Amino acid sequence: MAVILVVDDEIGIARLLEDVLNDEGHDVLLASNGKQALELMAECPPAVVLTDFMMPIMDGIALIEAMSATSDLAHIPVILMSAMPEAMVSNRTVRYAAFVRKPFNIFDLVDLANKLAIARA
Amino acid sequence: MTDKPAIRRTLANDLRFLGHDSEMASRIGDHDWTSTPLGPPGAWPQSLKVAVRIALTTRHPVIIFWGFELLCLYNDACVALPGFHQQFLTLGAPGKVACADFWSVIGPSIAAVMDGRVSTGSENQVLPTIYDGDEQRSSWTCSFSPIDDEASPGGIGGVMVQLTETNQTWAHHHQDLADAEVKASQHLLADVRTMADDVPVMLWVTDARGRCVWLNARWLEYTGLVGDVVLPTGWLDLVHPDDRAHSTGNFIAANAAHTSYRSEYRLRGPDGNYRWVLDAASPRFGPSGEYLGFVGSVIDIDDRRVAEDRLRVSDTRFRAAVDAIQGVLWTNSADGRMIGEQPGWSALTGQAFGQYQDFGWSKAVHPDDAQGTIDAWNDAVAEKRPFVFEHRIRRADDSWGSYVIRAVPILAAGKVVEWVGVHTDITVQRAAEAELRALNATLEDRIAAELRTRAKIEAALRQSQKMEAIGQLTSGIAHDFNNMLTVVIGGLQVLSRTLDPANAKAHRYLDLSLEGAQRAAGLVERLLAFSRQQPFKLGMTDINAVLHGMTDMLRQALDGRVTLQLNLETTLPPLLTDAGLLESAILNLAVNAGHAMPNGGILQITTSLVPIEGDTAMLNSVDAGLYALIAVADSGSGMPADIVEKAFEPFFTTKEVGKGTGLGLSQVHGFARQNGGNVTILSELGRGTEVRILLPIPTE
Repeated sequence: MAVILVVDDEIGIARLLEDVLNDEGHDVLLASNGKQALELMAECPPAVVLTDFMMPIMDGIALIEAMSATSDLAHIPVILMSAMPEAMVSNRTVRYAAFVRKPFNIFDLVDLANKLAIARA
Repeated sequence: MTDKPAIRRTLANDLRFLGHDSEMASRIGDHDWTSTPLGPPGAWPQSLKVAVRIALTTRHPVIIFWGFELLCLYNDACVALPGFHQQFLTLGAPGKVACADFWSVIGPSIAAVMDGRVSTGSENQVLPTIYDGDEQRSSWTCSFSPIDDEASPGGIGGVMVQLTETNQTWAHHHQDLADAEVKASQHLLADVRTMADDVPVMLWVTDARGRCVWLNARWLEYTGLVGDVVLPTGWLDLVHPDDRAHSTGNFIAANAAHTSYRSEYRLRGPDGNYRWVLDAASPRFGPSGEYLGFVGSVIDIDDRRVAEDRLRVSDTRFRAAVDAIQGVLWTNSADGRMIGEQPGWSALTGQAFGQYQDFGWSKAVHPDDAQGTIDAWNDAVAEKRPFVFEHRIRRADDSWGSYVIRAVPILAAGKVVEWVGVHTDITVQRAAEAELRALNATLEDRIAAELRTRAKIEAALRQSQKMEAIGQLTSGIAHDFNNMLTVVIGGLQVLSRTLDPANAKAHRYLDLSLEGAQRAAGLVERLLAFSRQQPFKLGMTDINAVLHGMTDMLRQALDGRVTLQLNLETTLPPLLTDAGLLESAILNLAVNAGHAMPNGGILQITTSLVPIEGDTAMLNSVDAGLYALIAVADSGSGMPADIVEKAFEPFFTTKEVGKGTGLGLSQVHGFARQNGGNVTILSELGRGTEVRILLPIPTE
């Protein structure tokens, strides 16, 4: 029902989320770092972005900041995922819709993505 | 002379040898001989008695000189000579005194006889004689005879001198002499007056009443006045008004007492300027002893006085200079002895006048320095060269002081007249030098101590860096593990939802897997705590309140035989931390402490406020500032140093496999570091362990 972009360099997490979100009826785009994510979004803007924090080439924070700086992307809600506590992330940026600490309950995350996608639709 | 009953009556039996018929016999008998070497006449040697007897019975003048002193006895014939005995002879006096005026004439002959040489005689000896108060000269023939006395040295007890006046010769001689003397004295007076006017000294003469009767030409020239104006008392006007009272007083007193006079005063010259003069005078007496007045001389001493004034100023300056260098001035005699008043020395040492005289001063010098000082001083005095030395002095208040001495000989015409020395107090400098020496002596110790401190700081730094590296490693591993666990847990959750609910066995395996994965996630969480990446719920926290609130929980966690003691600093301010994490850190430490005391003991939790700065800050790997210290101490078995060093590393444990994760202390470490503080361990085997957590107090 919506296009959701998943960005994570841990391919297992990306594949797991793709399957579960597909099961929920969403179209899922996958990227392994922020740079790839921005290229994909230029062609097909998603309704929601789920991104990891620590990634090579371009990390989650840089991605969020780049989206904020682009008018077409600035309004897209971002769910930030990290193995680190939120306190260690929130001092870098506050431009995210939700924070989910790894390891997460996958169905809680999918519920969150659904809600944000519905709100966008 | 034969009928003198009074004389006869007074002679005692033992004086019968004197006879009864002479004036001299009576005089000798009346004389007090006890105070003379002769003693009472009754005890005189027989030979002397015989000689006296002969003298008293002859009509010629006879003088007896007896004994070593040549004491004088003589007969009436001598007395009968006009004026003879009054002026020249004194009964019982030594010959050279009694016959002072002509001793040079007779003395050598008497000495010759006493020495045992033959008796001798001389003719026409001219002796001074007083006739009617006038001194004349008369001519005499003298014979000198020994008086034998066995008891005397050389067998001669004395000398008998028999005199015969050669009257005729004397009469002519006397008259000629008198005429010649009158003329001579008149010439002499004129010569003297001329000479007195010519001498470059001012002279003056006064009469018995003190009036000036004569001033020489030099005096008048010096003052620019003429005699009429200044005689008899006008000269006083020339004396400086300020000096008039004392110089006049001196003169009047001397004039009344007929004694010599001496005074210094300023005398006005023709130009109206005053100059200092020294006036000295002697009394004059007439032939019969009557006082005639003064004859005086005046010399200009203005240059000397000016020089003295300059000297006084110079001396004052010198003393001021000595005072300014806190010196003590003293003088010594030319031969190097301390003589006379030395007020500076006396004030310094408290020695009284009699104590420091000669070399007495050395008693105030330190016993170890005294002989060295005396030797060096004697060398300097002998070589007449400046003396420089240093020694310790016992001061008046019994304290010891160090002094440097500099003394120089004062020379006059190449001869040392005195030594002047100064003691300068260098106690403070010497003490400072000694302190510096002591400081240098301990320098190595201090450097060693400093190096030990540096070594400890370096060790602390290395430990801190090691923990930091372990933290980063741990953090990386934890991060990767979390990602992997996310895949595992997520996958298991999806599988659990899609699996047939009836397949109970498969669901049991799934649940076990999920449980294991979640326990692994918990472990990773604790690793993140060590690497300071655990979630912090910061809030202003009252540490004492947290500890009070934990007491029940702590008692439950501890063996019943462990006594819990809280010593809490009541003034501890609240600080910013996560109260829950603090609680778990304390609990962690308390449980560890309990394990160290399997047979019970005391667990003491203490809080205090400590300022930390400098080396202490470096040793604790924290910034300088004010900290809350939470010390958890047990009375347990303690730990060896190599264990203490690794105690905070994750997974390090001394417990048996399966009884501990080895993450407890590493979490406490992470907690303290994440707070900006630190944690350290003090432990001694058999005495117990104390873990100290430092948490910074906010500055505002």
